[in-house]
Amino acid sequence: MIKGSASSSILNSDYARWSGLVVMIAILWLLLPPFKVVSLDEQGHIPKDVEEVVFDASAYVELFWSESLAPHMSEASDLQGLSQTVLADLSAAKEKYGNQRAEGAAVYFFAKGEGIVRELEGRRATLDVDGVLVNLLIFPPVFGNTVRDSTGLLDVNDFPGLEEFNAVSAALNKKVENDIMPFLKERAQVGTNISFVGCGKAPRSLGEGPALEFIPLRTEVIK
Amino acid sequence: MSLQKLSYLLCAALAIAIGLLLSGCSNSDSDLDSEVRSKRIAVVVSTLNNPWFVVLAETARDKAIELGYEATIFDSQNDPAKESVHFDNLIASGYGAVLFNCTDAEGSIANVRRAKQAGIPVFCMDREIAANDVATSQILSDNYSGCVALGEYFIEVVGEEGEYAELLGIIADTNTWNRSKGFHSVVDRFPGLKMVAQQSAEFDRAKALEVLESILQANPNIDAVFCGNDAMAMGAYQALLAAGKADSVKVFGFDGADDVVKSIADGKIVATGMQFPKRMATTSAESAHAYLGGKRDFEQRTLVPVELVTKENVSNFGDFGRK
Repeated sequence: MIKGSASSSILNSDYARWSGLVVMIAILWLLLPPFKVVSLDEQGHIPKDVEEVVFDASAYVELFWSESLAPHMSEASDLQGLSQTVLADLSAAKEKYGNQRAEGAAVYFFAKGEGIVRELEGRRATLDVDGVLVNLLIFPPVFGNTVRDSTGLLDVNDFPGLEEFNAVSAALNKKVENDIMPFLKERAQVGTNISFVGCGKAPRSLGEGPALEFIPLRTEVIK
Repeated sequence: MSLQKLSYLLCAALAIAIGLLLSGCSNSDSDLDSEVRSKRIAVVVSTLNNPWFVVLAETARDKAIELGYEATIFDSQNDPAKESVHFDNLIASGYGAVLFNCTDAEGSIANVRRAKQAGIPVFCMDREIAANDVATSQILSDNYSGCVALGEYFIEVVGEEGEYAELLGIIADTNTWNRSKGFHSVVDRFPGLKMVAQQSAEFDRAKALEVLESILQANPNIDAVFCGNDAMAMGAYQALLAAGKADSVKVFGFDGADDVVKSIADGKIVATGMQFPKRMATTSAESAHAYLGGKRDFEQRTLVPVELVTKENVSNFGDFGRK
């Protein structure tokens, strides 16, 4: 009888240990599952856990333009002062008026002012800004990152990646082509006085012809 | 073995397993805030089969040595699997930081994450990884802007009408698309310019020669070729030489490799975009040094400008930079 009691208590103890082990494994499995079972979707693909957010550069630009850029236009440099300084000392103009993202990068100007159209040639109108000639781009295409980088309002680290940052550049150019340039195309004539806010890349050096060329961001015909 | 002993053994094994699991789930921030782990820096480069990447890797290594570290170059041979093995080794070996040129913008994220979780900061050079929360910083060329400038020069030289081919780089590399998109943002605005072929030659000179040979068979009258890097530009030029078309087809590259800069000076290849591998490598090494010295605030992405190299200004460039 003693033997029977001893063997049943051993069995009970073993049973408790094994049960405990199974419970621990079950708890671990729940907390740290080694795999996950998901159902395939209708196309037979594994569904994504999170819906991919697709960056909409055009929508971004619309919001940026109305909420950040337009209010910022009042901060643009004085075109007359900028033009005079460029002619007198290009380096000083870059220092005083320029926006540069990084050392070695292009220097951009962001300016507002007015001038009288002296010449229309190709995609450009040449304006007389108080005796200094500057070019204003009035027809597409608009290339490059001038619009994106000239105001200093946009930084690459505000975006998911370079692809999105560059897409914004293209979308900004498109907005200028579609929403700003058509106005100029219709109204810019020799003798017209045009007021504008624009951005342009600083030249590496001065040559013949107008020292600066601007992409318009806002325009108004004064007379 | 009795059931009792077996159950004790299993419990012990389970306890060890739990312990190992929990030790692997450490707080990455506290790991990164820990003291300097090692005076060794790993330079993991996508390939050493391209002189441009050799300059990138060797400059990074040499700068790290100059700053007082042991530095070793690991060549991934353009193979994400090999890159993964390098990360296994450098994590296990206790390297203090990684200067990293990835093989795959998406695929390499996991490697960088593993390093981060092991408390090893990663500084990406030249090639972007498609994540903002794993690398400590990314020093990248502004390829898009560089190729906008190249595209504008392309129009100037080739004109607003004609046929051209494009040789793309490695499809999984974001640089391939940043360059292509920059170029096309200009060239596609001229409907008279027609792209008759666009194919990947994987940034490889030999492959580019092969690819362009077959493009020329189908399109014998192209006026120009835009190549996503200089190694491919050299391969393309060789193909044109062999076909007797080197004088009539204009070749454009990108990188600023020495052989292409010399070729531009000789009036052969038309233009390239000078990236600055030495600048990127030096900045990355200095960033790693600053990190290991306690600095923590780094911009996630820093863009290094690219400069257009043409026959007009080629005398200003050489040795993978400005003279």
